[in-house]
Amino acid sequence: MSSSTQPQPSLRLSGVPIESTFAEAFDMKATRLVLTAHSSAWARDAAAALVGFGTSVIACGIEIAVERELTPEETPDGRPGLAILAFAVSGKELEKQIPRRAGQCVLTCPTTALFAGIGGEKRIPLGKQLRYFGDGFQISKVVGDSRFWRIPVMDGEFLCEADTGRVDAVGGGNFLLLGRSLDAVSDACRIASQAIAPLAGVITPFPGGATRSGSKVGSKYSNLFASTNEAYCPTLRGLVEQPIGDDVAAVLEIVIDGLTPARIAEAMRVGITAACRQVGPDGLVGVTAGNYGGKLGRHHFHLAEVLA
Amino acid sequence: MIGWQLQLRQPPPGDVDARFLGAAINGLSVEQILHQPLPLLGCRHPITIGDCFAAEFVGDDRVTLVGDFGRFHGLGYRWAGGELVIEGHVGRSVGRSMSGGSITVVGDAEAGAGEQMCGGRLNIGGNAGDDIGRPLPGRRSGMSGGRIVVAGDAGNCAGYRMRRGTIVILGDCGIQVGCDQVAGTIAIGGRVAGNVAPAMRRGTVILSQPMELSTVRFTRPESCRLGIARLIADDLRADAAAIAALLLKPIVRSLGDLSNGGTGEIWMPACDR
Repeated sequence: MSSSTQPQPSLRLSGVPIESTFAEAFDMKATRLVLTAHSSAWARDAAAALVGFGTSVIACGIEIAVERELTPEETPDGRPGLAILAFAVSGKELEKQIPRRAGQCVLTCPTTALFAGIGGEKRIPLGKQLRYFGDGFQISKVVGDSRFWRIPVMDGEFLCEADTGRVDAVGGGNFLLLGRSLDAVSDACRIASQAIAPLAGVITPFPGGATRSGSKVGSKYSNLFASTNEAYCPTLRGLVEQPIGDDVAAVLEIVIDGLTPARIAEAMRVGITAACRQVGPDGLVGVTAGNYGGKLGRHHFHLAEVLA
Repeated sequence: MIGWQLQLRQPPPGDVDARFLGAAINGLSVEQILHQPLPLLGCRHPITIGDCFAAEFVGDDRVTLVGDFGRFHGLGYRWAGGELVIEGHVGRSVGRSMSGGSITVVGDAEAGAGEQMCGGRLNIGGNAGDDIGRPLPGRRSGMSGGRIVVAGDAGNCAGYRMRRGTIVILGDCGIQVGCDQVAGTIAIGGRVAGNVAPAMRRGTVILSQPMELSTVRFTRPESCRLGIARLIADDLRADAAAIAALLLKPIVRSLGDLSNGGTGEIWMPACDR
């Protein structure tokens, strides 16, 4: 990662051209939750609800996804669970979104419990806010240095840590895969997001890890602050100025949020490398990245540096 | 903290208010320590530490008191950091108002151990007297943080009016454990004499052996699966492995004291019927 915006020399990875450009990312606030349940199935169901409608801060408020599955040995209560990462543009937005989602999606799901997954002086309320559902029958219990709330529910108790930590993080790391066909770029995306999935400290919040609706800042409509990035829309070829050639049939973007710039750079490297190696130049015309000229985000991930 | 050792070389002529033998002597020189007054309870004329003790600096990082301190009351008063080791028995109210660090009593402790304690760790290697974690006179609630671990037996009213923190008693316990308990956790590895948690308001008493509770004051024991039990088991494992193991098995819970409007809970092993 670098803060400069100088063009980088072009390179190829497994024969796929890598454009001399950079991904532009932004400072965000993040938290991690650990969700457990009596079975993996219940944990996944609760997580699916919790991370639903959490693809982009543009309209969802937060970007949230499952970081990884946890074995019973890795969870505080010895049950199967998942680690979930959430990112927002401000701590205030996290404080608004997390308790609301936890209350409607985790507290409601049978057998679940919710724990803090990250430290930090600044805190996001969990049980501290949800406890009132107990209507006076809730129980507070301090174990070690952590406070938990036990809220009576119809299957027993909903156990919820009082709060979770909030840390500074980075959102909006990305790369674009330029495909010769929809099949090829779709495969490349799947491969990239599967390669990124095991990495700790990062999420790809869009469905399947990829988005087709790469955006630019602003719109001809005054009420929109983001709109389609026509420069990469193949159906507009010939109508607008585009950096992509005639051989590009479809473009898909992998968006990455991470706890640190280094984790995002690593995820970009892993994702791009996997996609290029397995799909190759027969399927991919090239790899590029999205930026706003370096004017909006202070984190610049140059593809050449990331892949070095 | 500078490590030093006080060796009791002559018993005091009476009971000693030993509150000064705590956090207040941290950072003093040997000379200063030996000249510090030791008030005798009921006597206007204090003796000095030097009258009873030989003091020396030692290489380790802790304060060690060696001898029988059964007539020394309030040892470790306001202890806030570092390690205090008492190699012998201690009198009343050891660890009174302590807020951090650790105090280890190798022998027995008389009544009021951990009185008004709010943090840190108090280990009692032998038996403890009555009223562990009790409030200071005039206070409404007692222990409000930290942990007391008693390796032996404890007297009556352990955890009297405790509000937070953990008391672990590995041996047997007298009557009225958890009396007037406001909150916090008390775990008992041995037998309990009876009349558990009268007037308990909140908090948890963990019994290692099933016992009959007053049906007037407590709800019928119900088997339940509590996620918090696993967390408490993990927390207790280092101090009380047997109690921790019990918490991973089926338990029953009673709520009370109903006569007091309390919603405290008593956990005990589910017995086979």
